Amino acid sequence: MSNIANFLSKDAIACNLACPDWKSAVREAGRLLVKEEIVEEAFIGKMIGYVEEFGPYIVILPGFALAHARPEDGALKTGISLITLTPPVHFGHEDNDPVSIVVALASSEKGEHLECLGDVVGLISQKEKAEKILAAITPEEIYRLLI
Amino acid sequence: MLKKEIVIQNQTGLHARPATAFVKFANGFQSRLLILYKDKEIDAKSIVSLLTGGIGSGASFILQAEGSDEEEAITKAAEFLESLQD
Repeated sequence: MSNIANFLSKDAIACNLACPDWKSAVREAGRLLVKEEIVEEAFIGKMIGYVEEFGPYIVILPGFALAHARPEDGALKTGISLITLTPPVHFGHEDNDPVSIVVALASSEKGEHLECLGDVVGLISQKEKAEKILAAITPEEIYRLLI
Repeated sequence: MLKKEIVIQNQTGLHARPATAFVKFANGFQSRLLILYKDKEIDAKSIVSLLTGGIGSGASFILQAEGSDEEEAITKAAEFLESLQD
């Protein structure tokens, strides 16, 4: 079992959302963090702002975006949310578009952020795992794949 | 093969943005670039390897380069890592 169970709840997962663009996808993932009281509302705008400022570097692997902002941007604790997108959404990344899985990551402490990030990336980078996540139709299914 | 000790000095460590930038940079060299950190051997040319490595602020590790351009690779990669922005 990975550490992800410490950071992810079933209620922070949503499947097959139809988002018209990347901002709306990041907003949906952020909304789940707000609902779980992991971040303040302002955190969502910051996640979008960093992409506008620094470019779509958050699409770190083909099909996978890791939306995040800094601890001081309104993170109340450490946690993640995960959404799958149907159809996939373009973020403007030259190699890794289009995106089907968005994870939003918040952490209240910098060290934890890295640990959690590593766990998530380790899992999603397994091709077979990512395919199963995409094929899942309920949050419970995805949750079981991740913990 | 060349080795150099590096200490990460920025506040936030090797998180998503600097890691992405570094991987791109490292891939510009022919040499194999490895980060030896704790008990891990991290491939500096792989974003997955780098992000799962959990290299935080203040981390100290050995950078290792091996290949035809190892001298340039280790010097420039060390400069890059030592001057990371947050």
